[in-house]
Amino acid sequence: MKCWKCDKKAVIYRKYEGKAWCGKHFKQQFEARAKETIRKEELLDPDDKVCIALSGGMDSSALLYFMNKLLKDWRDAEIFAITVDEGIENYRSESLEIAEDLCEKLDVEHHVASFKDTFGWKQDEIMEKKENPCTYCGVLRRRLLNKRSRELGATKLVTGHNMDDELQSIFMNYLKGNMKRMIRLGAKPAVVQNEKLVPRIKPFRNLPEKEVALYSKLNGLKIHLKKCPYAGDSLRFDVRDFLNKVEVKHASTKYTALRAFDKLLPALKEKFSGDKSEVNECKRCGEITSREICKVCELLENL
Amino acid sequence: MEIKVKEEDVTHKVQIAKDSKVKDVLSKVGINKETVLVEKNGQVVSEEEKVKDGDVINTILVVSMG
Repeated sequence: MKCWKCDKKAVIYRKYEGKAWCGKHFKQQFEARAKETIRKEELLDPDDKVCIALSGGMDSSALLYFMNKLLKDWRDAEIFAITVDEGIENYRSESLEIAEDLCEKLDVEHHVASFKDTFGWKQDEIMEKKENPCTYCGVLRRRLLNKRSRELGATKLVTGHNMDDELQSIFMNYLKGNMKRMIRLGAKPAVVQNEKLVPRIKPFRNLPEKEVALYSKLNGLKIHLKKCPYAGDSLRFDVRDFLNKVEVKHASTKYTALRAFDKLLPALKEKFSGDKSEVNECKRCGEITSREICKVCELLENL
Repeated sequence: MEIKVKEEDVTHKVQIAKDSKVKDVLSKVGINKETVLVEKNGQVVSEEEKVKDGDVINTILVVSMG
């Protein structure tokens, strides 16, 4: 199969648009689509100080590569990366090394923020006490990324969430009946605006996971593929497998499902946004919360 | 014709009809094409690429590992 634009052999056939692309033209198409998301959703300002949440995995490595390339032409923008070290033996050290190498290669400032230094616990230590490690890991990681990026002066926190991640979250929230959480989705998910919350953005949100992987591969990025030892059999994996099975049988379903959600999102925001003035500072740590004591402090207290 | 398919540490040998495509090979081994990138004889290819006897298909898992 040949590329739609030239005579070279295709590396991908995008069934949802009915076109095949060679490596060079795929990369152009991929970047154009990410830029379109940034432009349409107004994700960036010209003078943004952008923090990339970099794990060393496929999505965030591709994200750093793309964002660095994009912002090179922006005179007033800055970029740096943060990697969270959760403290997971034989897992995080390898990806930390990959993240460090990539930042060095791209000449991007790199910071490491650890659970142990910030919260006093490694994820391995939390595992010994609790059976819901993903809850702890997710909540602590989000807090740490926000706190550290804010301290370093970031005006945007950029994550590598792709179309598959987004769809999985949509379906999971629906299956759990958690409609309020749905409004946190989208390319620019911040519901509450507060100086303590660095706005999060997701430029890859309209790009399938497989295309992000291909972009990484074609740009020669070394990526960390090891499975987190605590990942288990979560609902997310079941939803992921279901969506991939449906996509193979009924092409473009993922794309259509995401577009359908985008049409629903404004209505969901209107119904479930609630009283935005209900933003408190946690009585223990001073971070933003809708309650008196924030989720992080509550979780740490239970250890 | 026979195609070799590498899936992580395992190599499958697949008998498949002439004029088959990469996607047919993956389907025969039970690999969901949404979850992998494919290299044929060392080159990244689309799943619509035709295969021939003796080809070696390498699959690279792309789904999030948690």
